[in-house]
Amino acid sequence: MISNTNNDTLLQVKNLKMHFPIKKGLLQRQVGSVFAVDGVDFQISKGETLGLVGESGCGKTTVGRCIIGLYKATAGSMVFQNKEVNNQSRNQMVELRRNMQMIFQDPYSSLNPRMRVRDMIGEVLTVHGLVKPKHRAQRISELLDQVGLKPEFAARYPHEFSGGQRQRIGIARALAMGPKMLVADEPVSALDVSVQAQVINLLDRLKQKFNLSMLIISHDLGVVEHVSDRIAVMYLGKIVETASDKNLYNKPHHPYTLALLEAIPQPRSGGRIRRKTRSILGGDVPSPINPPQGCHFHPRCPRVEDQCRRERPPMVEVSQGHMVSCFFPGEKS
Amino acid sequence: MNQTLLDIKELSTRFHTPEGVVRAVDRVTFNIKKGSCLGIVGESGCGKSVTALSIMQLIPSPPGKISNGSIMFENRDLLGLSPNEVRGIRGKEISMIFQEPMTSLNPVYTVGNQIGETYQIHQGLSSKEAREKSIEMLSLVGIPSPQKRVDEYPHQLSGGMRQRVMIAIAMACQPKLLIADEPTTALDVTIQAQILDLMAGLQEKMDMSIMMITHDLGVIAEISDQVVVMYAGQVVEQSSVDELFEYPFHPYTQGLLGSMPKLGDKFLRGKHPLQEISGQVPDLINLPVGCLFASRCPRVEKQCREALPGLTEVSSEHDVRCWLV
Amino acid sequence: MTESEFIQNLHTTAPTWSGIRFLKRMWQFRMGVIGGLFLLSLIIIAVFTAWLAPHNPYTQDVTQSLAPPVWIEGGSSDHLLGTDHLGRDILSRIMYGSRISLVIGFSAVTLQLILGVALGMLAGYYQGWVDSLISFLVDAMLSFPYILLAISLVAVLGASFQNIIIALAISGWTKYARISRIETIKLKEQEFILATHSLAYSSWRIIINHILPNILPTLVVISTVGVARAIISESLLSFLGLGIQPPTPSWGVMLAEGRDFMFMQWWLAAFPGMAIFLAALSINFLGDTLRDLTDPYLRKN
Repeated sequence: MISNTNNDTLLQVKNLKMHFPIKKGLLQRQVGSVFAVDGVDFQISKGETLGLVGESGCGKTTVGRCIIGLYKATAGSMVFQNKEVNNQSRNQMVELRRNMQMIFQDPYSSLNPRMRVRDMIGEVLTVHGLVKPKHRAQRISELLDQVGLKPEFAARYPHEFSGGQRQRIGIARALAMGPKMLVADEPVSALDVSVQAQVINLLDRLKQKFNLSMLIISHDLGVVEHVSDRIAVMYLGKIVETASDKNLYNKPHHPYTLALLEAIPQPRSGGRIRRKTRSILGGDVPSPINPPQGCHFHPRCPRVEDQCRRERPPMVEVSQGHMVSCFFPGEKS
Repeated sequence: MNQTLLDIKELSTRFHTPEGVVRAVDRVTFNIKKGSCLGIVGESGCGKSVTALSIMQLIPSPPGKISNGSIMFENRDLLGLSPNEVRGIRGKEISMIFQEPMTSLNPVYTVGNQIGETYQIHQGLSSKEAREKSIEMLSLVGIPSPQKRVDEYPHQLSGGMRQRVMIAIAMACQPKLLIADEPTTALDVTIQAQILDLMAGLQEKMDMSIMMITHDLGVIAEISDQVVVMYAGQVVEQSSVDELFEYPFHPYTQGLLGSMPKLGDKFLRGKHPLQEISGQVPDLINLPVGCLFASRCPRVEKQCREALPGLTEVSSEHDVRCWLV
Repeated sequence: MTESEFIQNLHTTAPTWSGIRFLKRMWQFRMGVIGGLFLLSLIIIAVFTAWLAPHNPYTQDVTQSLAPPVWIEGGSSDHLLGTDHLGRDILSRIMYGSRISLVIGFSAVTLQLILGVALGMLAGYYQGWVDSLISFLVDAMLSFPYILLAISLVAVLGASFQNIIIALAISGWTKYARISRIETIKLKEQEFILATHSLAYSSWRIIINHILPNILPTLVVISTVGVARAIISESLLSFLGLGIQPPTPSWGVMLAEGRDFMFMQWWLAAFPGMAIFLAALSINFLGDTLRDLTDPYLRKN
């Protein structure tokens, strides 16, 4: 489907699947599966930011954790810097982790409460032999400076920081490895609005400075659109639409993307009128244990036809780099 | 329409902690008109939830204490009522829904039990009548096949459905005021849209007032008539909703608006960094002299650090707490 | 932190230690303070017994046998708590006995902790068959009463000082294994442990440097109560003749020896019995208070 692999491609994900077994009873027999990720393809080029957006339970977090290697994917291939991520030896895995780092969602649980900042970052440097011991302290200050924290914060424990500052510490720790790519899973959703802006701007600055590639995973299309070059929309384990940020906003083709764009409340005047005139999506997201037959979106889709209930729509390219998985793609519903 | 339902004047709520006195709500004044929706917006720690809990008189005491002010609800001062009288108003005339639909429902009772309980307590209905009423409420809040759902337990429902049940419980006695504390924050955007529509629909149908507490200016824009912006326990700006978004006056309101990424802005005006509000909220125990926002304000002047500005009217029904108006 | 959380935290905020407030806190936790002070004096007595004890605990003096405590007619200030049937000073023997009780109590619990935490963390971290195996072992052992297991083990191993410690350690580690297993499973889901994986740390480093420091404080607090249990168990074993052997002065041995004189010369059994009771009680007070003090803090993190 996505075939335009070129030299710039840093990460290529093909047909990624992650099914979690559901086990029951004394003998732990498998009685079913959670189809968390069910065939996902995308690629990320050097220096590019891809936004992965979707609602809770759509599998976006699982995608991120598979890529970073926290979960072992059920099927599919992930090629990072021309090397397959699955089936790697421990040494190769260490090498991979150096180049790909993760930023976590919850700034309150992503830092060890019993470690000082300098020990946390210092441990990364020591374990991977990234600096000589005599340059350690200097490197820690440098990293803290890069994320906008004072060097004297190094001696403090996590509970002495605000949420935004903790998130910066997490970013500094990720940067310590000197990665080429960052995977950020809901990096700002636990933060206050004004602090969100600081972290988003920081990520943008770091991306420019180090020519980083990023995968930003979020439920918030506003945040994703602001930071991303391209956006992939996920629904119930599958990507339903991939497009450049501009095309996705101006010419959304999948009915789910359209609904998502309409549902986001905008901090502008005239909101009450906008709310009354928009069409909203009914129903709930179905369970990933029993995804619907055919197109996963069909029970909530305003454009649903018989074909949608029977068959899974393939990914089609509606314009250069704009892929949609829908039998009836179009800009209007 | 223009009658005042709830009139809060100079409300202060404090918490007496070992570290000192936390001034969580500081001389807050606003009112809610009959049949309208007031939005209270601010970041965590600004006092918006404590304000709501103060109205409901649910402040844990000690350490909390309402130290000053009046809360007039239909010409009765809620602060002067006995605990029994307050219980009569709570849940019946003023109801509240919370952020977490997962933990706000009791997992060991059916949905029907929990809605019905309100009828049994406040209207003395029999359990059979209460069940009938519960089914009625479930269909009112848009839950499909209510006859079946009424006997289900909370864990059998999705997050959106649970929030609908919470609304059903809150609406059971047809309250005059519904206080909603971040009711959609834990929900997905498409579900949030459903819940906001439901609330707005119920508000019209039942001619009730809503006090919507949220950190999300987008939600405010969609549902409120009036907006109160709170910062560090104080009201810093209040106006009608459209005026606030068109002419935000307080530097904090402007900062909040500028720090939110807005859909499509990037293509209309080109990509630019989001506006940041530097620094942090002041410590509510050791509040600085002068304007509480002074240390983070981009337009700070000498007098801002010396004296606290009062609320000044900049146009009709638009008040701002800033020296630079 | 939302405001409702903020309000909740007001109730659970860690105390500040200063001046009047310190005294208030001390009063609030007076049971723990009393327990702690008693335990501390017990430790001091145990360490300095050789200098503090008025008599040699082994010296027999038949002329002085069965002398009552000082406040009863016929008692002398030479033997404050009286003497036993062989004329040995009861106070001195109780003071020497505290050494045995404390050493056995603390070393048995230390071994229980080491064994329990190691196995519990392995089970929680690796899960799968390792977990099944260890959990099966724990469940199997929990189906036996603790003391019965200890008695059978001593019977097999033979009664000696070391064997009592080993028997108590083997019978008592399961509780700590259960707790550390569950805590490890909880921690594994925490993002800071996920982060250590994404930083490519080795499993050993994650277990020792990141998981252990987060579960140990809870366990140490819980284990204080275990010390009391071990002290009682030692006395019971000795009482049954399976523990410390006479003439070594252990509280359990003294209790067993005093049994025959229970009705006429009650002091032979009553004082060592009281020593066991007070030691266990004070440790329980201390343990409960420590748990109360640390619990909200741990919950907050």
